[in-house]
Amino acid sequence: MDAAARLVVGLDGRGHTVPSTLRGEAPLLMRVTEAGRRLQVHLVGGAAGPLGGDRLDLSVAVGPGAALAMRSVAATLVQPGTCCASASRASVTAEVAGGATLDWWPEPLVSVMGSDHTQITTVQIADDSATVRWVDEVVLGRHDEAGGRLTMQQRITVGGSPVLHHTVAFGPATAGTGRHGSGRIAVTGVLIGRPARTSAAVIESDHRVVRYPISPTCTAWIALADSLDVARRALADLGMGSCAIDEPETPT
Amino acid sequence: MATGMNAALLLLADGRFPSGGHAHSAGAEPAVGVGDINDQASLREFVLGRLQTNGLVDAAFAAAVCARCAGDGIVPWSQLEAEYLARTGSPRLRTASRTLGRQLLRGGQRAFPSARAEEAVAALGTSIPQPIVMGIIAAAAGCAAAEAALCELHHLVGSLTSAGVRLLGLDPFEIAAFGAALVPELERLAALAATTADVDPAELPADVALLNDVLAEHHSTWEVRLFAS
Repeated sequence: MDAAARLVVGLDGRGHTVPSTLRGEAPLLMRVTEAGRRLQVHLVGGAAGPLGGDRLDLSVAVGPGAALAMRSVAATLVQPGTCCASASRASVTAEVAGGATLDWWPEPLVSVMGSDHTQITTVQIADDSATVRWVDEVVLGRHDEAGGRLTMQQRITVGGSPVLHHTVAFGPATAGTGRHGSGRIAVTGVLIGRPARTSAAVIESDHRVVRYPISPTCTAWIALADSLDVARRALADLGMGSCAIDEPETPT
Repeated sequence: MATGMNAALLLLADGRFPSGGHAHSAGAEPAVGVGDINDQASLREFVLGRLQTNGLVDAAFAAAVCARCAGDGIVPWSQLEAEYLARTGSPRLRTASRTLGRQLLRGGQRAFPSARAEEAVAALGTSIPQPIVMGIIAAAAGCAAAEAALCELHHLVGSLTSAGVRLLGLDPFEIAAFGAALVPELERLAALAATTADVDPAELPADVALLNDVLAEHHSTWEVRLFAS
């Protein structure tokens, strides 16, 4: 299945964020779930997938001064195709204008045994006046199941310059201590456009978490764990969930 | 090399070349500290994982810089550094790479002076990420891009395994045999790194090991460390 979705939001005359384009096709369907100064949009997943062979393309643009929160109603299950071993691919592109806010934190991507999926995320931020929080939660396998092959590519630029560029490959052949450990959960988060936090690292038997500054206005978090709850709690302890991005600053 | 021999490459690959590498474990010390490496088998797994992630990235940057330095064109120094730093988020890893780069530049510039090295210093200062310096010095020494990549990978293996010997008392003969068994993988990765030597710097490999960032930042909080990184 090939599917594309496009969301464009901007400010209206009252200072509310409104969609000027909201177009999707299964399995990439979107619903506005909260309106106002900040618009909240949920991905609702109109079909199973992505499945092997799928090509999905989601693009989001946040106009000057607008504020958008992207969520999803449920985890995304990446599954193998039915007939033959073929890979699936999703591209997620976000453009964030000056003074805009984008809070991207959907439910986890679950890599089901036998699947082979690549997600390519490109975030283009106009300048330092924008605020972006971007969180990707990965779960390797459903309950008591090994995960499939999953490659997460992410490139974030501010004013055209690269801030973060990562390719994180998960899979049976790429587990272990030389890469990301043997846990089922990997969460990566980044907050751009707010004063950076200092470094902090926590090593416990069931989770390993780090926070570090990438630039004066950019902080990254990584959590590796066996349970999503544990990873989320540990990240919250390091301030990832509590940053004030949910309450957009009043424009001056 | 028309003869197929390259003595300059041996010099750059020699652990005795004054590059400051002996003070760094390339992540082995923090991994030993948390119990991820505790014997030869776990060291092997660790080395393979690191080679195929950060190792490939470092090798690709060394190859890309080497190829550009050997050519006639303008080397986009700031862009190369920015792309490398975007792939190296951890402040601790950035500092270690810049320290190693500065030290390699000092010895390398003395041994293989080049206008490209002066250009790089004018653009970036002397604390340049290590793989970029490796590319500069390798080009000045007449090495090919794949050789710069191979040298980078060789030093990663050397740092990790010699730290394993020093921290865990692993058998040096077993470690030497492990190094020999890695030869095909090093050659494969060096060849792979060289395939991207001419691409736009934004397109260079970006494979990371998430644990590397976690452990590097954790290591920086230790009170007693044998290695700087």
